[in-house]
Amino acid sequence: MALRAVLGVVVLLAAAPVAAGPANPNFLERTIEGEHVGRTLNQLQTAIADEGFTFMRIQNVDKGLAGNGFERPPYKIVFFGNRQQFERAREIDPRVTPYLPLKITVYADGNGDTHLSVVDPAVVGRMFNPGLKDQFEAWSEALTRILEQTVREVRAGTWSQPN
Amino acid sequence: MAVPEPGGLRRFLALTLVASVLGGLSGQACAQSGQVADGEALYQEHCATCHGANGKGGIGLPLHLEDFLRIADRDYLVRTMKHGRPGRVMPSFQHILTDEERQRIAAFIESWQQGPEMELPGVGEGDAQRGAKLFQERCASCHGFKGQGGSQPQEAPGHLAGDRKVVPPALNNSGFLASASDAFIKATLMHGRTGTPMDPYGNGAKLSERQLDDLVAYIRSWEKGVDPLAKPVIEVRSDLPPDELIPLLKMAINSHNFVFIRKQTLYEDLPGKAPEHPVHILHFCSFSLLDKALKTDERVGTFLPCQITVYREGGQTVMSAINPKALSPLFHKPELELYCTLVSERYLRIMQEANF
Repeated sequence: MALRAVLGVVVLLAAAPVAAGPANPNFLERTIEGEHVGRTLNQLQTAIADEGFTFMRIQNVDKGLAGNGFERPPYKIVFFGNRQQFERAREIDPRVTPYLPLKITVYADGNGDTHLSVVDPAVVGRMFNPGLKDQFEAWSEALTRILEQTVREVRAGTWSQPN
Repeated sequence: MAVPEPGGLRRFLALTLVASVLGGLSGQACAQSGQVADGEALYQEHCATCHGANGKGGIGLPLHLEDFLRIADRDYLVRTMKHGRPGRVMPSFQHILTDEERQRIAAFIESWQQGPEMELPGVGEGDAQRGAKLFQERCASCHGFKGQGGSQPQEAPGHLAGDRKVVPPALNNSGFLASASDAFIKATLMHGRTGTPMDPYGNGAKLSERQLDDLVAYIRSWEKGVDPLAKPVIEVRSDLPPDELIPLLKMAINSHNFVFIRKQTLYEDLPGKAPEHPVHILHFCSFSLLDKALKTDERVGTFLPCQITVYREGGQTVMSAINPKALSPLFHKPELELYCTLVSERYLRIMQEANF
């Protein structure tokens, strides 16, 4: 009985996101204890596909910096998108173009923890045509789910390889 | 409930009236003090890093100055927060704070005022040409010959001392001109700012009423709409087709000490037919600048990679980039403002140079 209770608490703790909440409300951010950048990138691709987006590519910012004499822990940017959504958004307000495709930054800090970070699209959307409000809010919700799923799966060790 | 007698009824009604008036007043006072308290928390979060926890200044101008507080009305404070000072350290909080939040911060700043409001002067019709001559004689040594203001501090907050705490403001700045009324400008000229290098010029001491009006007219003549660096994107339009413009852009990118990395199109990794007019994306980087920016805030990857997007619209070719200067307030880190402003200015110059 006591063992079941202890296990229950452990499971609950494992399921809870590490960060209590984003420190800066303008960003969607999550932290995973430990350096799991590789696993996070894999799981992120699965979560991106689950939300109906197409994974596009990963930019290795850390490698570019290292090649120019600036060493730092892993720093990656994951690009993804949905063509129909992009086309509709550009029809409403073409100024949104340089903000596309969507992206999430994954990096390790000096303590060896892994961070996922993106400026909240709902905040960015306030700068554009009000006709884009719903789209930016939908992206905000989708990105939140992508981050949640990724953190949950990586922490639980149930992460999967992208298809 | 017992009904009061006729005489008692009058007394009862009078007491009720007094109580309701007092209650209303104390309710108003409570609402105002609540607004100030809310404003203080918002001020500490968004403003204190630059203007100091007590408003005494730092990388930003001092606000806790009686001369300033007595003439700066609510509109001036709220508009300043809304418009910022494009191209300067003060960001626009238009998309960061709601109008109500800006009002609360303004209420908190106003709470520092000790004396009564100053009656703002009337402003007559001035002559901008005469004002231009006067400006060069009396103002340009501090505010710049075109009103562009003093050099901005490069250090992080807390590293400034003495007179350097007050950088002469840019008077030709679109944010300033959108915030300050003519009466505010004239009152500042008349009374100066005790505690800063700004001397009083009014009351016949140094300048006549007509001369003050001429200066106001000249300063107002700089009002030219919105600064390009205040918008979410930096855009330059060209009559050249993309295939002619892109090589020029690459040259301009290299000439501004960025390394050109690659060109791709927006939809090339997404399913579907290639569009008739592709959206080109040019990626480039300044690794030393990137290294410094990442050391300031690792979330700066939000702006990465440095890129200029090129696409056709309305018979023209549009060069467009995310405006780091406009987004930098999201980070709540004034030291990042300097890098973001630098990158924004370089984006604009690259595009202008390619289109030259």
